[in-house]
Amino acid sequence: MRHLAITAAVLALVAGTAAGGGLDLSGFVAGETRWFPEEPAYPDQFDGLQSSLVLQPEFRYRTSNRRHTFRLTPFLRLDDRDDERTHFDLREAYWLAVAGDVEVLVGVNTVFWGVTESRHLIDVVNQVDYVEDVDGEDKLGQPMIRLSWQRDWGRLEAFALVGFREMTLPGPDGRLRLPLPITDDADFPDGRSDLDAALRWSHYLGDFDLGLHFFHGMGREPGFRPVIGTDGLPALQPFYNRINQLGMDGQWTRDAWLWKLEWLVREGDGDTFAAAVMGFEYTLYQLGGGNADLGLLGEFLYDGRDDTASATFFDRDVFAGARLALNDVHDTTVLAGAVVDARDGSTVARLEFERRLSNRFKLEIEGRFFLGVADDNAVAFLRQDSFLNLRLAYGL
Amino acid sequence: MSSNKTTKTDDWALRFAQWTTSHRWWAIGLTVLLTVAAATGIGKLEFSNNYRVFFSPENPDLVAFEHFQDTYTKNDNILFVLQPAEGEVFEGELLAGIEWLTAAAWKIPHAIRVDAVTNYQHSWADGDDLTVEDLVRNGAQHSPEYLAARRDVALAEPLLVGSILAADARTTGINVTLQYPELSLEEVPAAVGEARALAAEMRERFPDLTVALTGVSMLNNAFAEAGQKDAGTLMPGMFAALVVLMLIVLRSVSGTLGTLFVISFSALTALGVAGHMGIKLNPINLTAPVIIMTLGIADSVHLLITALQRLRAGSDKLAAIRESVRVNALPVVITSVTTVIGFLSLNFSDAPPFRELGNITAIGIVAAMIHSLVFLPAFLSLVRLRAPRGAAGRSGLQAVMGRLADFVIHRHRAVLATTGVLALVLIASVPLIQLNDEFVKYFDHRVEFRGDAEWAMDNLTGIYLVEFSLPAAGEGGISEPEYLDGLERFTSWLRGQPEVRHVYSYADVIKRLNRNLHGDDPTYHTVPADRELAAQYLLLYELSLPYGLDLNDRISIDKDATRVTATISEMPTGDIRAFLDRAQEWLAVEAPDYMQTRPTGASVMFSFISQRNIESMLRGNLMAVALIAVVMVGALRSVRLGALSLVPNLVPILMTFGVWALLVRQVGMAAATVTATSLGIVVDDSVHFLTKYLRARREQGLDQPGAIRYAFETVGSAMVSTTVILSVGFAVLAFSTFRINNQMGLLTSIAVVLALAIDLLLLPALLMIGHRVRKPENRNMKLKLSKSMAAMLVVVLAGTATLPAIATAPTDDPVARGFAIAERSDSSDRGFGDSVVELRMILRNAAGSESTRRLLISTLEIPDIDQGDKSLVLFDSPADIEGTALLSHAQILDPDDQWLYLPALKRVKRISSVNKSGPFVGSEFAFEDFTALELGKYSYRWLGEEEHGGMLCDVVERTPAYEHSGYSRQVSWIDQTDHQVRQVEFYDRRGDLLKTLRLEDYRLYDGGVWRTHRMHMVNHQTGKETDMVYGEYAFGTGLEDRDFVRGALERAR
Repeated sequence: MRHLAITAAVLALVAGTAAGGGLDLSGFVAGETRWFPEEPAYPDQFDGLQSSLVLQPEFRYRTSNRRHTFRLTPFLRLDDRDDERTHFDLREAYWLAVAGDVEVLVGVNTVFWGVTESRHLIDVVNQVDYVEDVDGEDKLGQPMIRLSWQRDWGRLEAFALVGFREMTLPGPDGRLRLPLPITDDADFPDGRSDLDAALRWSHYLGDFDLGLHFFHGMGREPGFRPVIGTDGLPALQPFYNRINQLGMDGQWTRDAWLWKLEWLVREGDGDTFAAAVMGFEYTLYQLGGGNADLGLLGEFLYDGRDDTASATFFDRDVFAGARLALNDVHDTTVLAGAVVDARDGSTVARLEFERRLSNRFKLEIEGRFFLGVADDNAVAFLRQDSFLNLRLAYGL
Repeated sequence: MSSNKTTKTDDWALRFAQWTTSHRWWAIGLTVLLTVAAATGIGKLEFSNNYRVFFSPENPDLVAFEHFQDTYTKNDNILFVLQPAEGEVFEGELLAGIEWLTAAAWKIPHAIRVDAVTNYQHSWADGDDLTVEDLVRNGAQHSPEYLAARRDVALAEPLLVGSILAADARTTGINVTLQYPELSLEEVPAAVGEARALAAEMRERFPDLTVALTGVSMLNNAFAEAGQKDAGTLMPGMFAALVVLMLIVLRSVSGTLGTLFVISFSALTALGVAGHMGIKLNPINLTAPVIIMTLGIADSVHLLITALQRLRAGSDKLAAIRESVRVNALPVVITSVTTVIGFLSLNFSDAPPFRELGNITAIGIVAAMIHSLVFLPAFLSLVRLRAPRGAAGRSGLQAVMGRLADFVIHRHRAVLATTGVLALVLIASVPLIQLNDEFVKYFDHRVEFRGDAEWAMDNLTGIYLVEFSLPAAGEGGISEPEYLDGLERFTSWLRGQPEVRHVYSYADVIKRLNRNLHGDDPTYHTVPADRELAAQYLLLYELSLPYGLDLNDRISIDKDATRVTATISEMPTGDIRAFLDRAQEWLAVEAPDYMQTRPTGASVMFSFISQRNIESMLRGNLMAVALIAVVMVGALRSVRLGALSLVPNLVPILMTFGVWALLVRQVGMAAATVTATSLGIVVDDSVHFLTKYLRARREQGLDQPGAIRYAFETVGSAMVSTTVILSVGFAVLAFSTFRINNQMGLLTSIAVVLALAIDLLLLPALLMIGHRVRKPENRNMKLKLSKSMAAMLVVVLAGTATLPAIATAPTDDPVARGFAIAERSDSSDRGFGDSVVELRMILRNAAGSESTRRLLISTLEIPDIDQGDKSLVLFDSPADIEGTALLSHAQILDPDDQWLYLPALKRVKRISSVNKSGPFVGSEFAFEDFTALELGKYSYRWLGEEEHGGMLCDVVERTPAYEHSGYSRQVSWIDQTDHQVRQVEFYDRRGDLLKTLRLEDYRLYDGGVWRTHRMHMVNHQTGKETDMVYGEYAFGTGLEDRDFVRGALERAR
């Protein structure tokens, strides 16, 4: 209810101050139902269906000379099963000023770095909103000051990231959670820093798109260590290391082939290690003379981190997938893919179907399946949490 | 000589060359005299034989170790390791042999103590008395039963097992402790010689016995032997390799001979000066001659190649030599200076052998510079010098260089991207490198010590010792029960560590004494609980020990500290450091405050040697880099190029470590110094390339591509040749028996090759960067376009002559006429600068049901007709794709560059633009109908005139010239009044009519720009239709290039 009140207040404020002005509104309201066919693995977890309501309006205002942009994107999810999943966030709330080659952004923003599909390895600026989905594509807004400089040698962006945000995690009654409850207080072995810095250069040269970044600050990925909780029962305490990360993303676009590489070296998260995702995307256009396109994806994932670092599933995996786009009036798309652990065969598969129903309504069905997960795999805790999600969204 | 602009330096160099060639006997005489004078010092050279030379006197690890040795006895050791072919060592004959060897070992010079199983001081209780005696005496006379009992005693003794007796009693050791007066370098070889003679005698007496020699003295001796072995193999091998290479590269016997003189003189000079300076040779500084000769060749080769090129071009010999000196004097001096700076920066190293290597090499390089500028021209003017036969004009390598230059110039962006990415990947891998200095592994298997030491480690005990001197509280404090208890716990903690193979601790002695003096009651096998008692036991025991077997090497004279020696397994030095940290942590937590100590010993010193050297070298490297940059700026007289030269100078070295990190992982202290050694060398290539480049820019006024081509052609082949020579020269060091040299040679070799690659690929690509802006034409494009461009040229040339007539005056050639009409139509749309327009698409299926899309299209006109326009399509509805944006940089014939912005993820994705014929957002418009609007994308043919929609139109057939089009051809109707396209028919790949597009509602905007406001597309094969309804265009909205970059997609709406 508190979230609802905040949202209402924000909406009222925005609507009030900018009523009638050049304010644009978009965004969506969506209803979702997730069905977990398998029995829960841990006590307290619910069984069966989980429904929720999502609201994400987007307000934009740009001055007529296009020098200044203001954007506000609050986010609210109300969930009927998991209190931790009921949450409010500001995905965006910023002011962006453009002056010649230089852009300044002040406020909360979401930033995406990277090129690969199966894992967003180098995407380090925003914390993952894990309760939204396990794929890491939903992220929490990050307060920042960003300076961008666009020249003919590329784009240079300097970030001052103010305030560290911890990863959202499901509550004790939620599915897709770790075996033990999570303590409220995260640990910061090297101390907590609320001012992180990042620098990114990106450019394209002919068929090559290139990005290079350096990040210094709190690592976004938590590790977990067993502790005795305040109630005297075993629990898991998340901890975050302070890291230095140097990474690169590159894509070579040649005919129907996209060759991709993401790559980083990270220091401070256990022993210094390197990790990489490399792969390709090949599209067969106008399949069989029709309008449909079939994209074939293959990626290889490597991660050299050791046991003392934050946890990851992607230590040595192979991803294969296919995307079928019918290119019809409804933009019907089907996506199927699986990440397979090359060592023990543990598989995380996903199947997605989406289709527009009308100008405003859209239907999405998404399935995620944890198959043959080995006992000692990093995702062993998810083995009974395969689910099917149905989502109906209405565009504002 | 083509250039009339010569610099002061050139004048000076020319006068200098005239002098040396006209006073050639003076020049030769002076240089030879100089060499002979220096070389007199060679006789004073000696081989050092102590591992301590690797540590500077200030090295804190060495200081700690010396302090430790002052407390106990300062000693080295030789360990005889004995193993019978079968059975155990407790056999009468063999024990007698061991007794003999134990006694004989006293003959080894400077021996102060000999420990063996037989003379182990066995103590036991005899009533109230303590008896101390040799474990075995006169072994041959005892019964097997007696010996078996003695064997059990020995195997129960923790001080013996794992030290001089193997747990299975198969192997035993005789440890000879030596104390050298350190007055002469002959001491160690003399001791080792005697030990080897004894080992040989022992083998003779027991033919089935394996005898190995290890220990610190053997290690020290190995340093000298490895150096001598290297001197005997590397130098001749190197010489042979260089002669062969030079004959191939130069194809001139007299040139090769002259070069050999130059490099021999330089090496002799350097070694001689080293002798005069009193430098002791060791395996590391002994590589200096090899390095000097390798580097000296580079100078001479540059001079000779230019001279031979001139000769080939028809110049006479003397003029050729002088011109060669004129052109090369500056680069030779600069490269020598930079190399000297690099090597002198080795003086920052903590390890004296590297400092000496740097100084000797620096002297040699200066000598090589003088000899190649003074001696070589004089020598060449004396001997017959002919251009190699059969190679008139450009040599094969030069032709290759020319082609490479063209490739790099034309594809400089791709080259920049590829080499840049490769460099970044390699450089970023550098942190994966692991430092390791296991000193036994410094030697390869050709050195006897390596095999013996490893065999001993497998069978008996290790050579890696960690020493702890544990202080007690005041004089006699070692008998304090608290101290003994701490000592005992520390000893057993050490024994519990997986790395530890053996621990020698006083705790075992005092426990045994306590038991002995309680009638050998095993319950008293503990440390005494009373200080007085413990002190008395110790006194009693010391009184009973024979000469040479006292406890002075275990206990300090004042009895205020004891020594604990841990023998550890062979393992990477990183693991040793971890072990040391653990041990100190244990002491800090578990032991009394006064017992804190810092571990020491040779293993400890080598564990930190790489770090210490890297730390000390870092400052040196930085200074060298800065100095070299200053030299480059001064020499090139260009701050920009001087700064730019940092890239080809530093990148290859960093890449080298990346290559090493990926391929090998582990590196020893060579890592610390290789930057210094390779920096000066790596710089050479960029100096040569950049001086030639600048010469072409300044003297000949060439543009960047021209100057790059000139640099490639004049100096490219010399760079390749010297790189081959340098990499081979340094690769010869890989055959060294000493691993540090082997790693330094390989690393430098890799660095030199990578430097060539960077200088020939990345550097010219970098030089091209500034050029792109002013580039008037794109040769690459012109080639591909040749057909339609030729047609266009005809038209444009004709058109400028008869401009007003062109539209009406029909030409006979339908191709030229078709192009002219299309060009006219296209030009009536152009000159708008930028535009923004709203667009509504109405999609209608065969049954008539509709669906709408709304988008906003921004376009930036690129005036250059060789480049396509830039456009940004922003979707507004349907709601689910709101905010999605498509950015296109149209090309003429190459695939367009396209990026898609996905607002839900805020992700920018470069997409393939092959999908020309696919439907655009489900409509009947294909991507190409939208994007392929550039004139140059088609070839044209005029088909005739026809009335259409009440207007007289030219009918022009256009055929897509770009790849991946879905159409075989299109037919367009262009009116003759306003020159606008009124209708287009699209034919599919089979040639059947696919779609018809009608363009209606043309409006004329300010500036004479026409725009259609309604397009109607019908697909004849499916019956579907799409209407496009445009809003009012806004022109001159102030959009700029920077609004059409991928970074701007985020703020597109």
